[in-house]
Amino acid sequence: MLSEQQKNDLLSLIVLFVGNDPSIAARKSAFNSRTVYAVERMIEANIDCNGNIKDLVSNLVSGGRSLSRGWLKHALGGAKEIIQRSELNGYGCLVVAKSNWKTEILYSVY
Amino acid sequence: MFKTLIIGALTALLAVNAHSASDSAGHLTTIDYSPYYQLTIPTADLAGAKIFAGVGPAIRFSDSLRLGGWVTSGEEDGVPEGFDLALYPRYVLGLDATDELPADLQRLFSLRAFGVSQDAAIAEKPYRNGMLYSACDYPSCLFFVTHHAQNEHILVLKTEGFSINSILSFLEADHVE
Repeated sequence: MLSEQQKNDLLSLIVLFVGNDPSIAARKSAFNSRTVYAVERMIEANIDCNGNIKDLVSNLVSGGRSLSRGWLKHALGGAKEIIQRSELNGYGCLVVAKSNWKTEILYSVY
Repeated sequence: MFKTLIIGALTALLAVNAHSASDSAGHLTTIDYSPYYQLTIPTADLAGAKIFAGVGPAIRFSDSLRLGGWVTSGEEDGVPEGFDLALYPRYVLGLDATDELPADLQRLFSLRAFGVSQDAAIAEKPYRNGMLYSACDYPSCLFFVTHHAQNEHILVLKTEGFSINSILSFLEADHVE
């Protein structure tokens, strides 16, 4: 079970990476651990895209920990400022295979 | 063009349960992704299913069976205009080398971009109208469907719980009784 703040952070991350998708945003209340895992994999698949993404991940994973499965769940809930700062710093990296990831995220709530 | 295709796909979603294939008794239902790509599935399999709007039409048949797809010109994912889309799946699945391509395309044309494990089973199978490419790390599979009559768009399918042969049968509608 995710808290409201965790769901908000998760949606902010999704918007940062794939843009604002109404069909995903409308399902925010149904976000769950499977959604977290889908977003975690999406970020990992694009981590080499540019410095912004690397900075974001490194800020989310405090203490220089390595990316082991479940790292994103630990970051959610207190990541609002980090995510907002990433948006203010410029742009979300162009995520390749965007449609694939949108589908993966939607599968997690259906 | 991509948006046009998506709108077309969503329109197809609305008609998904009303469009019977060549089966006048309604035993088959067709998902019409584009004039080139249709999946024809047994109507009985839709009992209790939930059809939802993903990127294109998507169906949750049960907890372990999901099928969603979309047609793409590749534009949204960064494929350059005029690129021969028949090569897209071949590059993504590693069937053709990408060494000669620009770095940004090498990043796009990789299994990692789609979140598919490097251990996934890769296959290519001809079907009546083109080729079906697959990367399966069961129960999840990623499929690319090409059509020999055109290379302006391809069908991408993301499934859970479906075999390659199931998808082939949906493309061929060869399960007509």
